[in-house]
Amino acid sequence: MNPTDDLERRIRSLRVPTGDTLDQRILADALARLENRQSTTTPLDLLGSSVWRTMMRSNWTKLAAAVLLVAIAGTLMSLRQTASTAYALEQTLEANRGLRYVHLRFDGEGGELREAWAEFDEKGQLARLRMDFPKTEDGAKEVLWENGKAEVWLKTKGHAVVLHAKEEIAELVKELAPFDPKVVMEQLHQAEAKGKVEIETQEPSKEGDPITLVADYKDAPGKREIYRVNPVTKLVEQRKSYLLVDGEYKLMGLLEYLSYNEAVPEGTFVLDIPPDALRVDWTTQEVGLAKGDLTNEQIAVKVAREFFEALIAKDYNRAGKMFGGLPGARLEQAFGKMDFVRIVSIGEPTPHPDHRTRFLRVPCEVEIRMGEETRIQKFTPSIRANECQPDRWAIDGGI
Amino acid sequence: MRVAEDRELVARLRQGDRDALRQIYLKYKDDLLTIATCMLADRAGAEDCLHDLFVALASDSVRVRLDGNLKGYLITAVANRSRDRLRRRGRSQQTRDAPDQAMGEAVNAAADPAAAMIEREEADRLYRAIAALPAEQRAVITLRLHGELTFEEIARQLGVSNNTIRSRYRYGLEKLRSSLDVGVER
Repeated sequence: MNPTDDLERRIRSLRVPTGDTLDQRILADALARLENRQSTTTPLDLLGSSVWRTMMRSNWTKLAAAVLLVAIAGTLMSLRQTASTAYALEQTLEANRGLRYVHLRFDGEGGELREAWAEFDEKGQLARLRMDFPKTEDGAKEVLWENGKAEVWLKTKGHAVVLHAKEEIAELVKELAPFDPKVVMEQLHQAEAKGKVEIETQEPSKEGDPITLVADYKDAPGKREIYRVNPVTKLVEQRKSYLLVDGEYKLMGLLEYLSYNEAVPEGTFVLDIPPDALRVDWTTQEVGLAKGDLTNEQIAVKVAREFFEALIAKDYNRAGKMFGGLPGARLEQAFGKMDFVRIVSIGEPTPHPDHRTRFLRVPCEVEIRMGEETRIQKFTPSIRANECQPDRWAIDGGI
Repeated sequence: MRVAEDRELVARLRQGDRDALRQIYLKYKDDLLTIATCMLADRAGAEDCLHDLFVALASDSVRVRLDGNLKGYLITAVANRSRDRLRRRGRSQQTRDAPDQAMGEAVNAAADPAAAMIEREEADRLYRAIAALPAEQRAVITLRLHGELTFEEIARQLGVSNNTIRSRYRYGLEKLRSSLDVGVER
């Protein structure tokens, strides 16, 4: 391979992935705009997209915001319940008020989310949530949220993270909000009230058969949704989304509410994580170093120095503590084949160009030996205050 | 196959299908962000470009017409937005935010810190070298290698001759190779 080919290959291989935070910000704004195009008011619009973006850029408010979205949406729905001409639909709105538990499954909707379980308290606030993502960029992923603590089990990678409030988790929780049955049915109700959708109600021909709502969107010709409503509970059991293609309605997505308000099956809100899986728990261990009276720059330098000194001493537990709380064994597995000889230099920290990350990046030069080769290797640890332990700073964005 | 899928996605998007917009975003987001980041040498600006592109796509979804392929359409759109942003930005700021940190989020440190740190350092060096190129050369190299556009397509898009594009590409690669060779430390 000539040098030009190799350089071109290296450039082609560069990738700047977006990350969950950016994905959610862009999708939230773009989908809200799409809804506006359709003149359908969503809970997101009611919150205001600029407010939403501001909220979601604040790390500490993200999880609360995501959970609140579901709750606020539900509150708004209740406040704005007005007389409706759609008998079955109005009953469904009423039935949703007592929602305590719902199990959802997605096919063709919900992005990477395929199955979710949500439990609400007596006030309608989200209390527990579990979401399964069988296929993501990180492989299979399961998320459990309860009492302000989230646990992510990356099944494919074989490691789990437990944390109080982390933006990625908050964004994941937000995935469910558009499919909350209260939100889904209120949106349909609003669209009908504004004349944007025409709903045909098909009463069951015999006892026990479901009620069927056929919704045709006037402002999106060819878009049809068919809702299956339980004749007794009046709760929606299924929504099928269709698109008219070449004169035929083609099924594009299926959203199923598999069970409502039943006793929560045992084990639903427990992730099946093998005991030998790599676990990082930010709620039970102190990570990094306490900042104390140091400036941000001083503590960042101190963490970087502590990390490399630990590697030089082959004290992998101490290095892991500096490296986001990873277990020492994991650090040894990664760095054990190298000899860290000495710290050559540690430069002035600089803020990450994306200020939202709050990282300080510390330029370091370290002499390392691998086999016969000795080299001066540059590292730039990304260091910031820990999400769950704000007075403690640690490497959190790679090195 | 991809073209047929994309045409169906665009048809659904025009109908206001939320999942179609989501699928289009998930399918092309990384390619588009990579292109914008390389063209702008600025991660935050590139994120804003990607954001504005998809918000605009949602706003005007009724009018989206696909003459070629969807990826080409999106690449052209993100490249146009990146160039507009470069024009608006003062020249003094053009390389202020070198994208050497752009790969920060790309590294899954917990997955394999050792491999990641080596790759990260090499990627950082390459990004720094690309960021130091003149914007015109960055654009050509990025559109050619990440956008997979032909020289003719790039020439049409940038409104300059085919020969100029080829020259910018060649000179850009030579500068990159030179700066990377000088930067080797052992």
